[in-house]
Formats: sequence, C-alpha cells, structure tokens
Amino acid sequence: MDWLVARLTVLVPLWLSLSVHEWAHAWTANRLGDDTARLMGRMRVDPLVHVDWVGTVLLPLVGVPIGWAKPVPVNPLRFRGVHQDTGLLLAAGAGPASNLVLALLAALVHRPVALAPAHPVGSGLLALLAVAVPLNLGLAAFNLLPVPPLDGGRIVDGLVPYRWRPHWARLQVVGPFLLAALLIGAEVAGAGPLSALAAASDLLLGR
Amino acid sequence: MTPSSRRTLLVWLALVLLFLGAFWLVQGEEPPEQPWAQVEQDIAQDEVLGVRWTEDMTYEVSTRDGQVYRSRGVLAPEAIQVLAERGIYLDYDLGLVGLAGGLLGLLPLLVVALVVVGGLAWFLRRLRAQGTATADQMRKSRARLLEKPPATRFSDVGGCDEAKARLSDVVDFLQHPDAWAQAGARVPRGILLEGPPGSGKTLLARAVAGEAGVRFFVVSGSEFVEMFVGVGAARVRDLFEQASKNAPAVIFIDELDAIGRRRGSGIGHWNEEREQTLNQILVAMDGFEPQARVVVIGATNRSDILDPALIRPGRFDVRLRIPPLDQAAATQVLRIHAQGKPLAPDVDLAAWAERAAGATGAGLEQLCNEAALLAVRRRAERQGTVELRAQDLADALAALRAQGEAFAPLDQALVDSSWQLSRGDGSQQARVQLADGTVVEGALVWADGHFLKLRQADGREVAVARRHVVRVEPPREPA
Repeated sequence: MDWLVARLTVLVPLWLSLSVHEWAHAWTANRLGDDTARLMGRMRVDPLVHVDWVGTVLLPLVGVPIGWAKPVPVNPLRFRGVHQDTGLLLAAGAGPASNLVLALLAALVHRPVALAPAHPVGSGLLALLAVAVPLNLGLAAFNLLPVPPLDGGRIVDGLVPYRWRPHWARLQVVGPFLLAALLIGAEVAGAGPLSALAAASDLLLGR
Repeated sequence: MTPSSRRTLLVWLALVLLFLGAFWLVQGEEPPEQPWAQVEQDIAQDEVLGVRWTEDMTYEVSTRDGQVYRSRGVLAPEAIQVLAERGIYLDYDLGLVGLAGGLLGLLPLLVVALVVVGGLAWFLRRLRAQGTATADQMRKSRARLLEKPPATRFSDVGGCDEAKARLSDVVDFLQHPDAWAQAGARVPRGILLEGPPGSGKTLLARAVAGEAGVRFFVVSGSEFVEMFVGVGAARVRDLFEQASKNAPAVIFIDELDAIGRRRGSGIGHWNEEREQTLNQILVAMDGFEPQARVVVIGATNRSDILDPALIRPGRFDVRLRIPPLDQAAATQVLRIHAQGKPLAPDVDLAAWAERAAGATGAGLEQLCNEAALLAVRRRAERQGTVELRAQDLADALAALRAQGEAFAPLDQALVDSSWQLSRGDGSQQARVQLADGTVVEGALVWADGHFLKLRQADGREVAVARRHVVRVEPPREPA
C-alpha cells in the first residue's frame, strides 16, 4: 500500500490544480460572453464538478504520467465583442495560464514559509506547495503542446491561417494518437524540456 | 455562503487533509535527508553500519549510533571498495520485488497501451457503425405504430354512415375471424377510402382500429419514395412483416396515390422505383394468409390515377367513397366537435351546419375551434363567462372564409407588393364600386384578371380585388 499512499501526494495537488485549470477556462469564456460552462455549473473550483474519474483519479493513482479533467465546453458562437478565434484562443490559454499563476503563487508562499521553524502541519503544507510548483509548471507546459485535444491545440486553432485550416483539421483527427505517441516517447523526446522544467521549479523553490 | 461554495470549500479541505495524511505516512517511513558530505564523513570515520541503494543517486545509510538517514549523491567505486573491506555490502532495495512487483511496474505502461488501443478500436468502430447504421435504417419502414389501439370510435365520426356500415364488417372480422372463416367468406383485405381532403379518411381508419381494439400502423405513401433504388420495396416488406407480427392490426397507407399511380406512365428510373414499391405492396397483400388478421386501409383523393392492379379483387377491393357532408351529417359533425365546449343557448347547430354548407369535416372542426378561441379572447367583455355564442361562430366563419380568399377588397399589402406593376400611365380615370358598398375613385394604373389598382386624387394607391368589384365606371363629372 506504500506506493498508493505515495501516489496520493501527487494525486491531490494534481486534482486541485486541474480544478483551477478548468475553472479558468469557464471563467474566461463567461467573461467573453459564453455562459455555457457557467450554466452547467462548471465555473467553480470544486474538484468534484471537474473530475473525470479515470483521467483525474485512476490514472495518477496507478502511476500513469498523464491526467486530465472533464473538459469545460466552450461555445465560440456566444462570444460577444471579440472575434471567435481570439475568444477561443483566450479561453483555451486561460487554463495553462492559471497553472503558471498557481506555480508562481505556490512558490511565493513556499519561500518565506520554508524558512520558518518546522511544524508538523506546516511541513505538510510546505510539501504540498513544493509538489504544486513543478506540477503546475508541468501542467502548463504539457497543455501548451500544440496537439489538438490539448489547450495548445486549441490555441493553434485560432492562429492557423485560413489557407492551412484543411490540413490542420485533418491533423486534428489523429491528434489523440499523436498525443499518445508523444507520451510513450516522452522520456526520450522530452528529456531536454523536462530537465529545463525541473530546473525552473528548483529555481522557483529556491533550491 | 451558498451551499455550492461551501461544498467546494469542504472538498478542498478534505483533499488537503488527504494529502497531509498521505504525506505524514510517507514521511514517517522516510529517514531524514543529509548532505552527501555526511556520507563521506561517516565512511571515513568508520561510522557506517549499512548502505542501502533505494533509487537513482539516493542511498539510505545506517550508522553505529543507531541513526538512519538518506542522502543523494554518487557512491564512488573507492568508497564501495572501502565498505566491502569492512564487510559492508550495498543493499539493493528495488521496492517491490518478484513477479508482483514486475507486474505492478508494468501497470502504467499497460494502462497507456490499453487507452491507446481501446481509443483506436472505439474510433474505428464508430466510423464503421456510421456507415452500416444508415443503410439499415433506410430499409426500416417509417410507419408509426401506435403503442395502444387508438381511442377513436365510430361515434367520433360524423356522417359517412354508408362507409361506417361497411367498415363495421371489417371490425367484426378483426374481432371474430373464426365466424367468418366458418362461413367460408373471403373477408375484404384492402379497403380504399376515397374522398376530398379533410373529409375524414384518416379518422375512419383510426376508428376501425379503435373499434376493433387492434394495433394501428400509420404510413404515408410518400414515405416509400426515396432517392435510393430498392429502399421503397424494402420498406414495404418491413411494414407488412411488422404488421403480421403485431396482428391483429390495421395498416393505414395515407396518400396511396404517391405510390399506387398507374404504372407504365412517366419516364426513367424514378418511375421504375415506384413500380417496384407498388409491386411489393401487391405481392405483400396477396401474401397474407387467409387467417392473417391484418387489414390494409388506403386513402387517396385521386382514385382516378390509381393502378388498376391495386384495385382488383383481393387487393383494395372495397372502395368506399366518402361523400361531401349533407346537412344531417354536418350537424352530427358539429355536435361532435362542440362536445366539451360550453355552448350558449342561442346556438342552433343544425342552422350552422346549413350556413357552413360544403365544408368538410376538418373545416367544421376548424370552425368550432376558431369560435372557441374567440370565445376565450372575449371573456373579459363578457364578465368572465366563457361560452360559445352565435356571434363567435359567425365571426369565425367569416374569418375562415376570408382566409380562403387571395386578398381583402382593399389591400394595402398588395399595393406595396405590386409597385413594380404600376404603369404610371393613369390616364384612365375610374370609379369602382365594391360589393360591400365602398366606392373608390382614381386613376387606373393597373388592371388584370385578379385586381385593379387605382391612384387616388390624394396620391394614395389602392388595390381592389377583382372579385369584389361590382361595377367599374367612368368618374362622375363634378357637378
């Protein structure tokens, strides 16, 4: 059972971060005029409304290095006062942006608290923050990958010139498989970026 | 605080507590971490009791004074040599060892593979399902099967006494087929109802099923006609199969002329397709076993163009003409539709049946409904009482009559829509007298078979429906 307990220390911050991530999508869409997500009750940081029991809980528990939450629906037709592509781009970008903000906030709190004398609860919360920083950096980076089902893919949606849209649309069909291939090859392909991420989180945490 | 935000807070708290609990459990197991220099120092001072390799670059060191600590670094070969000379060997802790451990280690990879393969399989299946599903659905008959026998009875049908008399035989056959079989009588299998639109053909068919208490299939002839060859025939087969399965049953084919049109007229495959469908219907009707308690009722308002084979004995061999309503029948129909509507004592339905002469059953139904709507709208001016008065019926009748006409006597909309027809000549002055006594004078700018258009002295243009015009004459000279 030890491994299960150890995985919980990753699962919990992941779950919380994903909740904020999805909330950010919903909040941005709502600000742009699309209240679909708000009406569905998704404009909340409640982890239970965003949970995907397989993607958010099961996979992290068995140690698969990916996870996802229930996607927040965005209807670009309801955007007001902003071009649909721009709106989609903003709504999609809000998720990763929220993770960057979370990482920064966690680091900001972690630094001074880490200097304080150890306390059982404090050291636990400190550990939570310490996990949250690299986790959120990773989430932001991962979601910004320009592969269709990820937020990065949707950002590209809004940026692709009209001439290239047919090719991009065809690419979207195989997107999930592209992503899977990317994940399987992640240890090789991602070695450079991953160590850069690790360095960034070490920097934020003052190690 | 709203209940939902309280729940959010509680879930966050619970999750943080879960983390803290897990963290303490993990922490309790893990010895404190020391800088790597401590390891080198302890080895140099011979303080080390044992070294355990836990994961990459991390070692657990136990010392002579009973302490255990963790440290990250690289154990140099010389250090391993030194330790070995003292009889201390590296202890490899691979965590979960053995078969179970190996399998558990594979688990993440396995799950990823499953998700990928499963996703691919699901994707392909959906692609293929899309193709076959549509083709299969095409062949299904679109007939609607009513869940229960309809609640309609012959008493709900006004008039049509002759048709009702013939149809009650059919009802009897559906209910007691044995008696008919004993007499050796061949029971009418197909009944063709002919009559103008709105004369109650559908209602009668429904009443047959309702009286007999059997299932009722409704299908429109045009539903058999499709873009793809063979689909119509397939749908006929499907319909008759379903009906036999649900026997006793009544199949009602509305607008039979859409498929039952005389064969051999028309050109091209379009026609061929319809012929196939028709052939299939003919075969299906022949194919019923004598005992099969399925009756086909067709309806058309153009029996003259039906294929002769469709109306030969053994198929639609009973042809029932639904005549226009006479006064007695119309009264009966009005009475049926007035049921449940609060009638004022001044309404004489028989008189109204006469006034609405020539109306079909559907027309009378509309009249009653229209009058009821008026009665509801006028309840305020009648001190809240809702009742159908003669006035309501009169206004409803007038409104329906007006609807049937192309335009009102004086029609501004027509002027607006026909501006391009203006000749702008206007040399001819005219004085037009209408049936309701109105008189319009002006320059005649347009005249055709349907309407006249006049420009009045003040410049306004007026269109006049020709059929309301009683007389057109030159304007009177001013005295």
